[in-house]
Amino acid sequence: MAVVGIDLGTTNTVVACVRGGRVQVAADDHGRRLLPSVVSFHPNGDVLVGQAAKERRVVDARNTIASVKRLIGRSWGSDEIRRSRERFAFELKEGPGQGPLVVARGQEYTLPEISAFVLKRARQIAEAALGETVDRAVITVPANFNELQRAATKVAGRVAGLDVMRIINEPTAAALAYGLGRATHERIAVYDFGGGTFDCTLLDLSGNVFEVLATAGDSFLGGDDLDLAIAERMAEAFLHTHRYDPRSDPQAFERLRVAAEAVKVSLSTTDRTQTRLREVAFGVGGAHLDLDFGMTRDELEMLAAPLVERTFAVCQEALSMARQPVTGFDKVILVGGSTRIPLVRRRVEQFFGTQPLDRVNADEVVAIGAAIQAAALTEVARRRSIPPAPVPAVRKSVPPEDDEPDEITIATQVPAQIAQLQKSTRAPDLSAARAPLTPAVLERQGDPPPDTATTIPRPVAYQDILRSTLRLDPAAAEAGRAEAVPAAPPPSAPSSVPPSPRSSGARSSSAQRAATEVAPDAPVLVDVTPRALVVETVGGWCDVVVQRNAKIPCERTRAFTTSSDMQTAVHVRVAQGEEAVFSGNTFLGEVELVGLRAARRGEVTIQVRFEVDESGTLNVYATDVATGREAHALLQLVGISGAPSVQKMRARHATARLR
Amino acid sequence: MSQASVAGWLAVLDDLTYYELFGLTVDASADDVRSAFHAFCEIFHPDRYFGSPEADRIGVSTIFKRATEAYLVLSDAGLREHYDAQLRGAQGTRPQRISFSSRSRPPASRSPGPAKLEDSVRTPTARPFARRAEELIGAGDLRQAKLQLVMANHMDPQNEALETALKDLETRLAERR
Repeated sequence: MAVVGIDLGTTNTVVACVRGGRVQVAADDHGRRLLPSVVSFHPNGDVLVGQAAKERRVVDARNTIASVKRLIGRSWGSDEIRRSRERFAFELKEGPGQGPLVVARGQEYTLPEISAFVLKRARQIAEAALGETVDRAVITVPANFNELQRAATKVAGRVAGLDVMRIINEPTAAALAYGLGRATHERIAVYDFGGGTFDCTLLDLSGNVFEVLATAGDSFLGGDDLDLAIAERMAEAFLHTHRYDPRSDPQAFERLRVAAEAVKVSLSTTDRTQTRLREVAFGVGGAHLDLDFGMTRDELEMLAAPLVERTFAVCQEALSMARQPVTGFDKVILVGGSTRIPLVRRRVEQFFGTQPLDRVNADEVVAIGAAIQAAALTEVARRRSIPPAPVPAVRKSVPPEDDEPDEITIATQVPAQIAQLQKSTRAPDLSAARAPLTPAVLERQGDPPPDTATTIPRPVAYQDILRSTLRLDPAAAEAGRAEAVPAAPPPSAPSSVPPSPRSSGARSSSAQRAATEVAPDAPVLVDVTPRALVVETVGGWCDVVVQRNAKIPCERTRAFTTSSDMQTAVHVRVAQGEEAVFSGNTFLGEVELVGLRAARRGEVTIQVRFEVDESGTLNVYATDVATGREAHALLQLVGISGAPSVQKMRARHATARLR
Repeated sequence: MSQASVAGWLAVLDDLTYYELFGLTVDASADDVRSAFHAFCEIFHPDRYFGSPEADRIGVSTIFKRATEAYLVLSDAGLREHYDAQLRGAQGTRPQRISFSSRSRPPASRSPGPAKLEDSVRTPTARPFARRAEELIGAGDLRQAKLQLVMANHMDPQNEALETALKDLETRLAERR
């Protein structure tokens, strides 16, 4: 059984696997490593995937589905679906739960089902290349994919018979593939300009830790847009010579788009290109109308410039979120086919002031990173051991009636007067008031002490923790104090420990000590939520519960009160986005909490807890503070809840003849 | 892995200040905070326990979630200042986690921009944006003011005054249209 990493792209899909410490990109029986993310339903009932399907695009555009990634996880009413219906030749219709459906040869398919065909083919390619079954995968998505898009991608994986171990962000995967940060601390910008989307992700790396500082993206900005612009130019030329607009015929326009892509690609290496397209359309008496089209690189750059400039607006957004200057990055990584355009490279270099890296194939880099992550997740044996817990300066959990002095655990470095203070003012149990971000916590007991400067006990350093136990003995305290002097990392520390030249005494050494036992090389990704998670409040406004670009996994709690008299139920409506008005964001779903005490408005407090796990999956809990009644919802995600079950989709998949 | 050590961490988790969690002193620099968080990630990131029994995974995840919260606060100058003040002001009953004042949200008020928005800003980076926004509101250029306020909100997230100001402004912009 093998685990693979899959880059399920808008245009192409790539699958890779770690074998004996080396990453291998799987090639099909023709030696092709890029699998076009295209599915075509053949009249004979076969389902074509990849190159064969892509070739059908020019003859059977209506039943050939491409760029599904632009649509997956979006609701029928969304702008994106509306825009796509204008530009795609295949038919879309509204399905249950606002999920869009693709109609091909009289059959309706959900979008995850279409993606699943691609994933299934990718899986077959990997199995053939590896000679063993593939049952688990890490699949990548654009960093700015929302909750619904991620969930839909997971469904696609399951329909394809894969256990989706993790959904990771493409730019983070790219950074993994470069294996950067191993030796030093560095800041990396990932410029990911693909077929359909653009993302800019900023990372801070040291040792094995990949911390995402910020990510921003535009999910409707990619190489496809440039193809379209070139195709428009072709259509104009055709109209000019033949007085016939090929845009009125989807099939003809599709041909122009395919030709436009070839023009774009060739202008990355040449300065001028000339194409002749035969029989684009038919004129009076069946005369075939051809198109002769020439373009120079300068002309292409004129078309591309506005698109490229839009990418830097996105980069700027990420930079301001990360509070980093544009020149603060040691390396810039290029990802995605559109970064082959010379103009893009020039502008990236100008913008970041450093020559971008392209050592790893821009088409494969994401899949390679995904494979590394898949391998890292399965390498459980190489885990680092957990050091003993630190000793808090104050233990509030000590029951107030118990006054035995040795029950109070005081850290070595707590000044004596603090210890005194703690003993004398030990408060009643605060556990009820401990929830974060609620008004309750702010209530303090008593006035601040006169000299506030001395009331911050110095915390326990890890050095001390290693020596001390919950009950402190003087010898250990002495040893702890001696250790607390800033010390350089031991020279014998294994290389996998972040050597971090900037580390200082305040930094713990426990990690380094623990590391001497095992030396995991597997990277750790600390990813972020791409968009804010909000709940609806009175008047249709939003209250942000989890901010944009919060590190995950995380947990946040917010308290709300009822908004009308005698209200006994609340619907906590959840959305994702940055708009202040709730309806301006992507609606995710709602949690219902019933059986509230009937009271005047504002008298009943509801606590809403958002939990985002390491995959970025959201759990929402609502609790009635007075009764402790809790409602929990794995949000019923819009567009997915109404879709047929995974089992049903899998059954249909099983009968499809994949070619 | 040792069940006992996870249990040990969980037992004291609510008693630890953010500094204690990372083994830092209150005067730790931004680089110290980052390094300590990265060291913490190497040990506690849930990905390290992918195949472990569920109880362990939940435990580690709980510990790590506290760390992301602590890192958020300690790596943001404004939040850290707020948290330090909270620690200082709380005597023996230190609330170990950050807390914000109640943010009940009455319908957006119709009053023009607050008199001194700049004063409610908690981070130095947000201040110039808030100041400029106020000037622009005064000059009647609401569109530009909105951009400045959006930036101020970015620089100083979860600042109630800034958020309210932005919403007021958006309401006014909507009315204009």
